[in-house]
Amino acid sequence: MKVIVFLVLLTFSVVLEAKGVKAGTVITNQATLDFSMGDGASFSIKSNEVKNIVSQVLNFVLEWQNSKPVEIYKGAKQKILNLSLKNEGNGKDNISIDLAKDSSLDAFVESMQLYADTNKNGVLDKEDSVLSSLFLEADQEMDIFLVTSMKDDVYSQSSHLDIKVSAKSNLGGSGEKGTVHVGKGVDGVDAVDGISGGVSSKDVYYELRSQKPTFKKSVEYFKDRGYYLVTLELDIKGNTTLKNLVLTDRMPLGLRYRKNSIKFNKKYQSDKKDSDFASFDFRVNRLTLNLAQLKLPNKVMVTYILDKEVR
Amino acid sequence: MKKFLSFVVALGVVFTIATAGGSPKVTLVSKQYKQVKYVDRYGRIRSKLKDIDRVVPGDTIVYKNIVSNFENKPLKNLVLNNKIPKHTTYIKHSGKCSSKCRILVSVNGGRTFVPENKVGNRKVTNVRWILLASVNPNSEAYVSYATKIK
Repeated sequence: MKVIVFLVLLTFSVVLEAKGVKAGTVITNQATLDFSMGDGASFSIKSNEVKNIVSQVLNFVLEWQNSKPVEIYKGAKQKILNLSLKNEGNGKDNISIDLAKDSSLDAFVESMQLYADTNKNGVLDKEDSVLSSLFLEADQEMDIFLVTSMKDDVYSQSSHLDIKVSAKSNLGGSGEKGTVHVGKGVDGVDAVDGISGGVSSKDVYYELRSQKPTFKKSVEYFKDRGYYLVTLELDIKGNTTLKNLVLTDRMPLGLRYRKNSIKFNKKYQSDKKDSDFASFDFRVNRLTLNLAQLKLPNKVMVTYILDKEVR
Repeated sequence: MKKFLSFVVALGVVFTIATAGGSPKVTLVSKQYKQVKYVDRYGRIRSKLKDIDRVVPGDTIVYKNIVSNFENKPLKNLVLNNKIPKHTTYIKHSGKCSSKCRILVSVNGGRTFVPENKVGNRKVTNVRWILLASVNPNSEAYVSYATKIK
C-alpha cells in the first residue's frame, strides 16, 4: 500500500532572534580516538577539523521614546520626537532611515528632519548630524531626533499628525525572516534577515491642539482684614472635554490656609476629599482641585484665604 | 565491503597517526549537521538533521565522529574525546553512541571526567565516550553530541 505522507516542514528559526556570537566567528570541532589492537599496541588518532563561520543576523529595533504624544499648539515653531534604534544583530549593520509622511501633513509641516544624537548627550544640539543612514555595531544603540518645523497657522483640534519612521538594513532587509543575502555580511559572510526581516518601523504622531491652556495665580493682601486672598484662574479654549485634570497648590511658608475658605467659581467647597471639586490636605498643606470632566471652552476660578501664622 | 570503502573515500580527508609499527588503517572522521525543527502532520514538533549551509547564533549543531576499521583485527578499548568548541554550549544529555558505551563529561578542561548527572549546571568543556564493545574489521562505530551556538 502506497502511503503518501504529507509533512509540512516548518523550519523554526528561533536562532534568528538571538544576538550572540559575532558574525564571522569560526567554530571548529575536532575529536581524538585512543584504541588498542591485536597484541595490545595502543594508538591515538585525530579526526579532521570541521568548521563553521557564523553568519550575520540582521536585527534591529526602532522605538519611540516619548511616553505620550507631543502636543502642538497654534504658533508652535519646532517640535522634537525622540526615537532610538538598537542593533540587536551580531554584526555591524548599515541602516537607512526614512520618513513616510501623509500628504495631509503639508498643511501643517514646513520641514521634517531626522538627526542622530552623534555626541550621545541625549539632547539635540549643533554637533548632532542630519541622518539618512547610520552604522551600528552589534548591541549599539543610537538616539534619533525627529525634528518638525510647523507652519505658523497650524490650527486643528485633537487630531493626529502621523509619521511613519522606517529603518532598513542596507546589507539585506527583505522584510521576511530567514532571507539569506549571500556574502553581504561583515567580512563577506552571509547575512540573514532576523525576526523583523531586517526592517523596523514605528508610527509616531504629534497631537494637534488649538490653544494652550492659560493658568494664572494672583495674591492680594487685604491689610484692613489681615489676610491674603489667593486667586487661581484656568482658561482653556476648544470644543472637547478634558478628563482627569488635577491642579495642586502648596501653601507658602509663614502663611496658614483658612479652613473652609475655598470657593470654586464663587461657590464654597468643603475641605474634605469628597464629591465636590476641591479638597485640602492639612498634613502636607496642599490644596487639590480635581476637575474630573471639564467641557471646553471653559474658565475656572478658585479662591481661598491665607492668614499669617501666629507665632 | 565495496560500498563501505567508497563511503569512507567519499568522506574525503582521512586522518591517521603513524606509529613505530606503521599506520593502522583506522580512520576517525568528524561530520557536522544542523538540527532543525518542523511540525509533522499531527501537529507535533519534531527535529531532524540536515547538512549545514550556514549557522547563526542559537543554531543547534550535531557533531558525529565516525570510527572506521580497515584492519583485519578488531579495535579494542576505544576512547573518544571531544573538546566542546568555543562559542558553543554543550546540550545536556545529547551524547550518543552507535553501540554500548559510557559517556563522561568534564567541567575543567579535560583534567577529570565524571558522569553527566554529577555536574549539575556547570559548563561542560569536554565530552568522552568509552566504547564497551570492539569495532570489528571492516566495520564502523560512531559517537555524537550536540551544541548550541551562543
